[in-house]
Amino acid sequence: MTSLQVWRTFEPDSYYKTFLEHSKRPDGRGLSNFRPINIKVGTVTTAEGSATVRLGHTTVMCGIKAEIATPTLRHPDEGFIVPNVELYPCCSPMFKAGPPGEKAIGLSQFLKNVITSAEVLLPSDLCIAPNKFAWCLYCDVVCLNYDGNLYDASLIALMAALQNVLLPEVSYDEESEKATVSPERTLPLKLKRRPVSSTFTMYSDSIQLVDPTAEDEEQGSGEVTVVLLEDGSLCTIHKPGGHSIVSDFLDKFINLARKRVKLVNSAICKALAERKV
Amino acid sequence: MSGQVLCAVKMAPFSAPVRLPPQPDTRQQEMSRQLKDALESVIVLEKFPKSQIDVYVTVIEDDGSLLGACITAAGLALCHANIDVYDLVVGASVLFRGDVLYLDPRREEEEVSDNNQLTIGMIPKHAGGQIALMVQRSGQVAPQCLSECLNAAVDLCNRLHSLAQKTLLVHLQETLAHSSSSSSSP
Amino acid sequence: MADISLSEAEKRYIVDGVKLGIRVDGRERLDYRQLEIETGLVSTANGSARVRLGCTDVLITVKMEMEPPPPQQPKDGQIHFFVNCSANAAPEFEGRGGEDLATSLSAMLDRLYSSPLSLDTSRLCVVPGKHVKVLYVDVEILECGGNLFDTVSLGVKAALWATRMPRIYITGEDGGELEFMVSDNPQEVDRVDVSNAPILITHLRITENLTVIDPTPEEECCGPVQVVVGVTPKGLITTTQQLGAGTFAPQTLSASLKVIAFYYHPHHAHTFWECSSLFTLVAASGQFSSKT
Repeated sequence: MTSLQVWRTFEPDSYYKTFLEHSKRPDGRGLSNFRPINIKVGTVTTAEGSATVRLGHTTVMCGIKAEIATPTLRHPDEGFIVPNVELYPCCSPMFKAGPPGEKAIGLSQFLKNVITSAEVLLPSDLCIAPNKFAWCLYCDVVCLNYDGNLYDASLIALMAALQNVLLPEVSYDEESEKATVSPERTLPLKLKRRPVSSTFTMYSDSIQLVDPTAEDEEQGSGEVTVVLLEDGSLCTIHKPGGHSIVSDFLDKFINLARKRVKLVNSAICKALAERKV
Repeated sequence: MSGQVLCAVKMAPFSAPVRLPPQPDTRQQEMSRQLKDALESVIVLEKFPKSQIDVYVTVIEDDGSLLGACITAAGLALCHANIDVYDLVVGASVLFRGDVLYLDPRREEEEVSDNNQLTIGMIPKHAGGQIALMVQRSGQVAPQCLSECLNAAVDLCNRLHSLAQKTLLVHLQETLAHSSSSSSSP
Repeated sequence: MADISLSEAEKRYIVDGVKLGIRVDGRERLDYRQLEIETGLVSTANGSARVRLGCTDVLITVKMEMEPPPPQQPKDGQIHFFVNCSANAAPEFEGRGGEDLATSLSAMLDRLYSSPLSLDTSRLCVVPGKHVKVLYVDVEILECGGNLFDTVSLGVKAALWATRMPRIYITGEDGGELEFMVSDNPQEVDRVDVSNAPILITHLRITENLTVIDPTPEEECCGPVQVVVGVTPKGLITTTQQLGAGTFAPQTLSASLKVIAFYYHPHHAHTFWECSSLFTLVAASGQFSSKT
């Protein structure tokens, strides 16, 4: 063990603080730099759409399975989008086997909120025959390696996977009330919006960190996630408790996030284009 | 008290043709138990008194021979984690239908009914080759046939073992090269 | 499985004995203990059997119910296994202790009967897509004296053999709903065809390349690893599963599989195969027990 490692192990707080005093982070990034994004789509053949996203060391995978379901009585012409995040013990010692923990439930809820509030996909587009059949999209996000900022990584993976989905064409016969699936003809989903999130960790009143790693999250005191649409308009701000922030900083965050929106969406497009070639 | 092994095989919901509910089903529980049996006989448990080794396997996609792949993955991960084992454990699967032997079957081949599937976990370089796990399911087969399947699976394991060993070696060389270059640079 | 601790000398005694071909209780390596099978003990069940093999004692009951089939198998009846390890059987079964063993036993039985060749589930169909017979097999472990898998599988086969299901007649149709009449004539019963149902044979590895069958708890202490083989009366192997922490040499496994074939040789069919043919003959008259 080098002396640096000893310092990190026994005095993690002072080790980390020394980096911040020089406006750097232990992984060599500045305070307002994002990590490189690596996206691959169509990585799982058993899913209708899938994507793997690497954000530094954070690796998540999203697979979308489509099933034909019956619409609810209240919304007879709407399909379902069910995001679900699974954090297996494989990806970090933080997570234990068994039913989903607080973090996984929070993430699933966040994805659900973003999809509905940004109107990514109209539920009515998933309807096959009102009152009878509608698509149900199960969007399962699985974390393979955890190194912070699951919010951004899961949303990127989810959006990339949704754009990769090919649904078989379904024809509905009114007389026999039966739906026939023709797997040879497939259609992509009609996505209306493409939201992108950016997460910031608050360390102190004056220091905020962009795109936190697991270490940043542990040292910091709470995160803010800003979700913007592709045209730069604000969709939601997600701040589950933690340190309070001044509104000036929020403006700064939104400006930083705006630059990231184009970057992420072009990265997804590039990955999709690579897949088609 | 010697060490304990805990195994959990978890299949991602999108890993099978039909979506799997997040709660583990009987197949996953059975695979976890079988993997545990295999690893318990491979890890030198006397070296880990009063401790527990947790082995978690996440299945991203199932395209057949799943249990075999889980065993091989777990074996490589144990070596990567520097845990003492008698030998690198590898798993392989063979399928027997009619007169045809399918090595390392795909999912479509597995799903056809009336076939025998034999999966073994093996440590080929320990005491002349030892079988740590043997599982055969469904179908009916004469003992003679099963012996042939077993031989085919053992052969497959031997080939897989040299490949797995090579992978570990390449990984080790890369890590060494990386650490020597990074230690000399600052 | 039972919680017995043996000293090194005691283990050595057992192992060396097996090397010479003699076991502690005087049996040879491939001999079974005394086997008793009794059927028709539980009058409320459709079929029941109690099997004692040495000190191991299990009670199996079969109940039949009519249920709608799953959509993917509209023409097949179903069979479900539930194993309960009673805390009386062994102290370690107390609380949730026996759950692991119970699930592995029921998984094994599921696999044993999963093939249509072992049990023709299509014969349990009443109305395709609407009503099929579902057999619930409950296994109660009363005493655990080694070789649980073999005993349970013999018991399940015996209980299924003894199962009498009242005959069902479709009397008419009323608004799309079928009407049934259940015969109350004790002579009019349907039975389950178990002529091809497999049983399990466990081989316990004692040393390098020697295995014993039907191990006692003391012998199970000497070798933690065993291979359980499901075999049909025709001598075909339906399922194999290695259990416990330990390894087999491939040759030993092959040899164990060949032993199965050995049992079908007419000159050697002296252990439970005789019994299983016996119980098909004798049990027709109700209660019976047979000695090897």
